[in-house]
Amino acid sequence: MLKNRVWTALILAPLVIAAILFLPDRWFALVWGLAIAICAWEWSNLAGLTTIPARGGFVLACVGVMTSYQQWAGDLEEWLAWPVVVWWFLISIVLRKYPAKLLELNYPLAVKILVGLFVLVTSWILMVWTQHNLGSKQLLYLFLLVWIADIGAYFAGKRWGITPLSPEISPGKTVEGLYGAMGAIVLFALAVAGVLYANEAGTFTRFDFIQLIDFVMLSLVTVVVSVVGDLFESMAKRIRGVKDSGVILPGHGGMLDRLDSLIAAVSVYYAGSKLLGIFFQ
Amino acid sequence: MEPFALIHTLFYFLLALTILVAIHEFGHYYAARKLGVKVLKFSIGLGKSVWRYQQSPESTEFSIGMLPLGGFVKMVDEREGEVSEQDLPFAFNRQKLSVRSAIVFAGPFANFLLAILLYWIVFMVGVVGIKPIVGTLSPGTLAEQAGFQEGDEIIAVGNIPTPTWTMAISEIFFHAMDDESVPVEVLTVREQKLIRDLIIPQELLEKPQLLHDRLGINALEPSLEPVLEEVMPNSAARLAGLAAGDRLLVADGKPIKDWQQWVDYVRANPDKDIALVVERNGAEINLTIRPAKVETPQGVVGKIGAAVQRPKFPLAAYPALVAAFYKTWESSVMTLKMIGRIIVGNASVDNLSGPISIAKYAEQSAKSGFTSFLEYLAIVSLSLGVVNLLPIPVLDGGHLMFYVLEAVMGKPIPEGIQIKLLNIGVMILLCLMVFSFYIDIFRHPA
Repeated sequence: MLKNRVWTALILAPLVIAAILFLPDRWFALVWGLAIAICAWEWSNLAGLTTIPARGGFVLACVGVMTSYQQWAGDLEEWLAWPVVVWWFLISIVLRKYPAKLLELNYPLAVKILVGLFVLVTSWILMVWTQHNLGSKQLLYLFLLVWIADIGAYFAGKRWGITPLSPEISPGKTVEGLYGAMGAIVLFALAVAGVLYANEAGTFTRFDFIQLIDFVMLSLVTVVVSVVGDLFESMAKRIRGVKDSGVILPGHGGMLDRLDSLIAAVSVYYAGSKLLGIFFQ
Repeated sequence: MEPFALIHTLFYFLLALTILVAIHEFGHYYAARKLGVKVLKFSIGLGKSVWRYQQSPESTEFSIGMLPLGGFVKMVDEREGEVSEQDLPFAFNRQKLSVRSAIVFAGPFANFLLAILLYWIVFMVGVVGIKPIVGTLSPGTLAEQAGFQEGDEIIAVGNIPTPTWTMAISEIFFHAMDDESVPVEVLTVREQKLIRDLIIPQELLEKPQLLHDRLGINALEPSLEPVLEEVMPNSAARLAGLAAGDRLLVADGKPIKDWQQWVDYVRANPDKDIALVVERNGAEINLTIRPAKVETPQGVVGKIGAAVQRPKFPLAAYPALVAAFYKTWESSVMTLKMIGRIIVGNASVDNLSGPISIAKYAEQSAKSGFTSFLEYLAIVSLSLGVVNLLPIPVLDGGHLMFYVLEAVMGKPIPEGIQIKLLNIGVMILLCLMVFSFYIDIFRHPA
């Protein structure tokens, strides 16, 4: 299981990094759009749609909104990132406070469909904005944050994990694992900031104590929200009664299982970078 | 300030303050543990706790509260609740007077210790400064009246040696707070040692912040090597490809002797190309730079957006430690004197800084480099120490005052009187808080 997981990661990671660094804006939007379309397919099942036409309809709806955005919306207002941030903020509070109640509730199909549409489409737009407005290096940093947090949480959880983070939703996650992930992220953020200062890249032209702490904290908040995204998807799977969202990636389950963290994290990462004025180039 | 910038600034101020409060409380905690008092809870921040840790039910509970305002250490104490039989010997109120005093004093003491440590680092890294040589004198000012001459080197102020200009000026301020005349020892251009007496008029004793304008001496700007310390983002210098560490050699065929000459040349050539030769890592590089146009009261001048390296005066470990002690002591005394003068009405309340101005200083100091941020932390830390030692009930100083009275009278102050005094203390503090906010908002109209 772990072997499959590591192999898949080792093959996919270079491809993803190459896509982030070298694909032109439009092609990146297309590739990420495909990934989101696969996620939409998987979400349709989690939402409770079972027939192929119904599931295909949901995917088409997502793709339709994304395409019309690309074709006609032009440059949307920057503040549109904030409702998404507020959404994940509220979700994290509810997940923390009332996990059991969330699992018991009966959600109408329309709510599940609309939530999926909102989360998936906004994450696609924000990811495209990040790549276009902040640049591919800053986008790569977001991916590395989520991956390193994942690895850090895995090892710290294995070594020290005792206290479950959210026993009702995801029994495997521990508080110690989260601390481990945050520790790894602090080190990683400091190292990246060091490289940026050395190259005088973007807004990192001169050492500024407050900017450095801003950067580390933005990285930490991003990682915390990525965990929330993970828990959110776990909750959806638990409500539906499945273990994985799909079978597309050997050892990792479905596409949504892999991208849930990123889908949530990109919102705070984009809005936070803009608000704090953090640019890599 | 725009709203987010204000929130951002206040956030960092609260963060810094929380760290300093944590150190203060750690002082109490450490002394209590060492002196055999049982500590129930060590909390940073007030209100509902967002994070807690307790090794076993018998050990101290560590907690982080929701509101980043202060913190506390809760010890076993019969006055604050039921104490079980076996805990009685470890209760705070059962300790000797000396033990209780030591635990109370340890908090402010930790803040002073931190200030010394921070200053020590600052002095070892080196303070940026210039020699205390008088440059220009403004006519009709105190310095002119005292007979200062251009070229005078200030050696000492009131017998305290002053190696840098900043130290000389701050010594003058320090003495001007309570003496009507300040003796300044100078070495004249003719190598004579003389004492020049600055006479401080009465109105300046009341408003020391005006002294700066009335003193009227300016430092002689020393000749600086034309080596760049930093290049600002999006500046003409960056556009031209200049980098920190570059030594400027030749401009339009003329050798650059010192930084001032280069500055004058740039100012005289806004928006004109200058052919520049710089030395970088031992190699000579040719560049073209076009200074940006800047409107100033003196007309349109050129600007390239780069700063020059200024000499630093790092001290060795031991002298730096001595200087750190001295600086902490002096700043504490100065803070105390200032508070005293405000209370007796000898100084204007304009000298008070409320949270908003302190937060603003925090951001400025953090932006202007690591050492100035450390220096700022040191000042806030020692102020926290000084203010906590004020004999106001509720504060550490208030408790110490009770202990002194207990020692004098031979028995503790009756609890009823203590509680009344504590209430008065809370009122005084609340008034002070509201007052300093009021002054701040007054000072920084939105």
